[in-house]
Amino acid sequence: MKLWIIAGLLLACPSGRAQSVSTLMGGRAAGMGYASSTLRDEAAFFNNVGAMGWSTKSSCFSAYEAQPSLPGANRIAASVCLANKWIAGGIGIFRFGDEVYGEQLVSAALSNRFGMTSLGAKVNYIQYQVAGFGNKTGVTLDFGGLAQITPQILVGAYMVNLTQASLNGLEQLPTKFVAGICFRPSDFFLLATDIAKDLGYDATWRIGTEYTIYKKVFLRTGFNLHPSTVCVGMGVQTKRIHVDYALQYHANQTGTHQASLALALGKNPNK
Amino acid sequence: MKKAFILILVWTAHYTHAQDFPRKDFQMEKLADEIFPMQDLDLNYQDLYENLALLLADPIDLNLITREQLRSFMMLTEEQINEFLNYRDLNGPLLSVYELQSLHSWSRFSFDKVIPFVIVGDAQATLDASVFSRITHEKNNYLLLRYERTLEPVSGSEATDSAHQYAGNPGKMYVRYHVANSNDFSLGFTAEKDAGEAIKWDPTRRQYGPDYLSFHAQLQNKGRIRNLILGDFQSQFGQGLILGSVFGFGKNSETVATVRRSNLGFLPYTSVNENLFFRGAALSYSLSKNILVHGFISDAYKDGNIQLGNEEETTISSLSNSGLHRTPAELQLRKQVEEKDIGAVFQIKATQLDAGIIFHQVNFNKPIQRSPTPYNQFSFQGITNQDVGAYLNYSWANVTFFSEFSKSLGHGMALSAGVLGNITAALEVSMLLRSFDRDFYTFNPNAFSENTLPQNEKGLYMGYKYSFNKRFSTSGYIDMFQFPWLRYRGYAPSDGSEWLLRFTYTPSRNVVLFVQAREESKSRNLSNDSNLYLMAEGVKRNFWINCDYGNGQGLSFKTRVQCSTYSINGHTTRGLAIVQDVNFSIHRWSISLRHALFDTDDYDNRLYLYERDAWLAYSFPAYYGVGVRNYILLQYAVSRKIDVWVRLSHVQYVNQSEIGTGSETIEGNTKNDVKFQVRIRF
Repeated sequence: MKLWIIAGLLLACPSGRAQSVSTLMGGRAAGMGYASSTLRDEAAFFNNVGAMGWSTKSSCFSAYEAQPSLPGANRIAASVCLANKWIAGGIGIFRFGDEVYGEQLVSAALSNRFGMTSLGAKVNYIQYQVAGFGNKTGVTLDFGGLAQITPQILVGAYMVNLTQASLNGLEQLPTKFVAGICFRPSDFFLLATDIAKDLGYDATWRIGTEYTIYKKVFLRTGFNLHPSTVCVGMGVQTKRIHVDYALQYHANQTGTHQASLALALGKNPNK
Repeated sequence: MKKAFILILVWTAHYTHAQDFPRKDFQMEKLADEIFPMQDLDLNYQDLYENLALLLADPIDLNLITREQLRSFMMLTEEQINEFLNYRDLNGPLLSVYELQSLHSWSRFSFDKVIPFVIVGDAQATLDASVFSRITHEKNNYLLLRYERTLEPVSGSEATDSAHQYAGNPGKMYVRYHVANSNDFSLGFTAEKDAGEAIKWDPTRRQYGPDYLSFHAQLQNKGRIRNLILGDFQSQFGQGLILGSVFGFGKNSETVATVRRSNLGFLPYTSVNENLFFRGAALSYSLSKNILVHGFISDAYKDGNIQLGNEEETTISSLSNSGLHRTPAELQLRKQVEEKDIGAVFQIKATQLDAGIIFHQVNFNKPIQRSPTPYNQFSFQGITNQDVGAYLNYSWANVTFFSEFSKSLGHGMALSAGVLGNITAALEVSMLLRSFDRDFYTFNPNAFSENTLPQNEKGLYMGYKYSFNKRFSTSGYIDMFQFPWLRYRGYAPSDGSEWLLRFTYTPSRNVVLFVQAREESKSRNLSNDSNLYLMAEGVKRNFWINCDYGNGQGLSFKTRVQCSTYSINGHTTRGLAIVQDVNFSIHRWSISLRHALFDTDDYDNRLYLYERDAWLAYSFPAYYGVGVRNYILLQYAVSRKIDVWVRLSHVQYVNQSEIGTGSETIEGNTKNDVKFQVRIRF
């Protein structure tokens, strides 16, 4: 229900610059420094559409990120993922900014898992809005994949704007490529690392870890280089609900907070 | 007992012929990752590797394969080769390639690697039929037709002034026919026209239709005639100081086996590099069981710049290697140099020993006289050159020693000597010492060297490979070298070093993960504003992380991150490429896709990445600039005898309004290439 309220709010909010903001979302991912291309969770819709194929149960997901030092730079996202044993499909929305400048995405994705590998594709309708300059729109295609190469190792890749689409045929939308590897030496520890490259910027190196401190309670930390960011986070899981929180600290900002909530859909989430 | 068991297996398999592995066209990709992951020199790797692909395309009969041929695969240890040969001696001819799996030192992985290159032939068929009927009945034959072009017009084909205009259309065409049975016969021809070249009949310019034509006919093992080739051929003797084909590679991640050159003798030349072959006749004749003589004679026209003077002053100022004849200026160079070669090798061969004496003489129709620069004072000048050399290879247990010592008569000397082998089953090492004088002249070498030619260089190389267990292995090398005299872009004596370290993790048959780092320090000229040149040490570092994985049922992936830095004179530049490949096969279709993103600051950081291509075509472009590269390759088996390939590649650069330089300039920031290929087997 909450999701639909958020979704409704988002859609009702008319708002607009060239998409330069990250669309990676989720308290778990943020706590791990967004080394998230190999994470198989409900936020996969945003972090690596290829990983979505690993979910076998339907879920909905929402996340909110606030920067107290920069009130106009909040990010919010929500998605619904419908999955069965063979295929997972989802729709989602994302918004960044305020009335002065905003970026919106509406996306639809499909992901399929075969054996130890999954592939997924996502179509995004992107709108940029700048007060007084109107709207600019574009459609992009993302592609992702995730493979479990051993019980301990996962390899992921996520390509954003594969077709190098542009905004109303004018400004080039960002083209990004993330490749990552995740190592899980034991049930309670996970180490993930990504290299992310946007054609317009230096490559970012991301590293994140997750440690299970007690059954379903997680502590996370991560960092990024180029640009430098340090992250910490924690999360709690019940059978139906996952709640995650993360704090990211950049040298030139006071800190960014993100909270996310994921809800398993269906009658018996344990099956 | 083992033999009997295999025999039963083979019978029960209901094969009328010797049992063969379910054979697919081998993919150069895996080999490429092992053998040529990094390239520094501005050589035409495309042609070099295509030659290797062509040679490997004809599987060799395991019952006839020689030690040197096994070594030439560059994937087997001395221990594995010894065990195989002992097994064959003890048990007689193999009945199936699966027998290789019963060899103790052969892992599943070495079996998988070698299998595309070998076959167990039907010996009876070879004995019974005449040569003519063997050729007409040989199944290993194909006709290959290929057309490719860049969709965007290049400035050379758009040019309206006759000085810059391309002579022909922008399509590249290639036709090839080949029929061969390894160690028995080979027959083939190749015709090619590069993009922008014209097809015309002009005997005065020695052009007979396509720009490049090649033909060979080879016969092997006919009594005392061990090998006879008419037409285009290449040679590989000793350590390749004097006579080397294009079997040699520089330093690479296959750190042990590639150091040594295999003594393969004469081989047909079927590739398209227009300057690397001999054209004439070659013969290997066995005088007795252990003594062979090899001789060849060649007369070929190659590209070069003729400086006209009076009749006596006409000279060749440079030899051209591009093989391109599109513009009037390029056509001016075409087939201007007549090169006559004559050579002989006297070889003594025993079980463990292989030794010989090599002689090679080259004559040009005009004297070579290069325009003088600081570094080329000791380059070859004149009309004729003679090289003599001796080589000695000796194997003992699982260790092999190899060497060649050569001299240009009246000029300098060259030495290359090394040893490689298994210290334990898990540890292989190699070592090579080389010393080449600045005035050692050789025209067909492929010696192990840092420079392109074995000239003006001293060095010591050491490499190792070690398997911790079935899953983890490591390899590496270190090479230290010295250039006692000036070299191209290095106007002072200098030295340098290079090392590589690689860790490979193979958790299962379908998964390979490796991490590799390499550093090279080498001095070169800084760009100068005056006539005074300054040199500085440039350090190039490369780093690779690669993961190949698949489900073993036609679906496979590759994810790779490859980056580099280059530091010289307090200034560092960088390069990065991230690559994702998806390959899958369903029924008669095979599809390969790639998406790659690259960002390199300058040409020093260009990144070479192997790309899948049509069968026997080779794509090894340098990713350079900032942009995205995609390709799609489709293969469709129309019938058992006909296969079709279509390849589309697309590159889009950021912040660039034109691509390429000179007559190859394309307006805009995108480049699209298409390729069609058909293979017909008869």
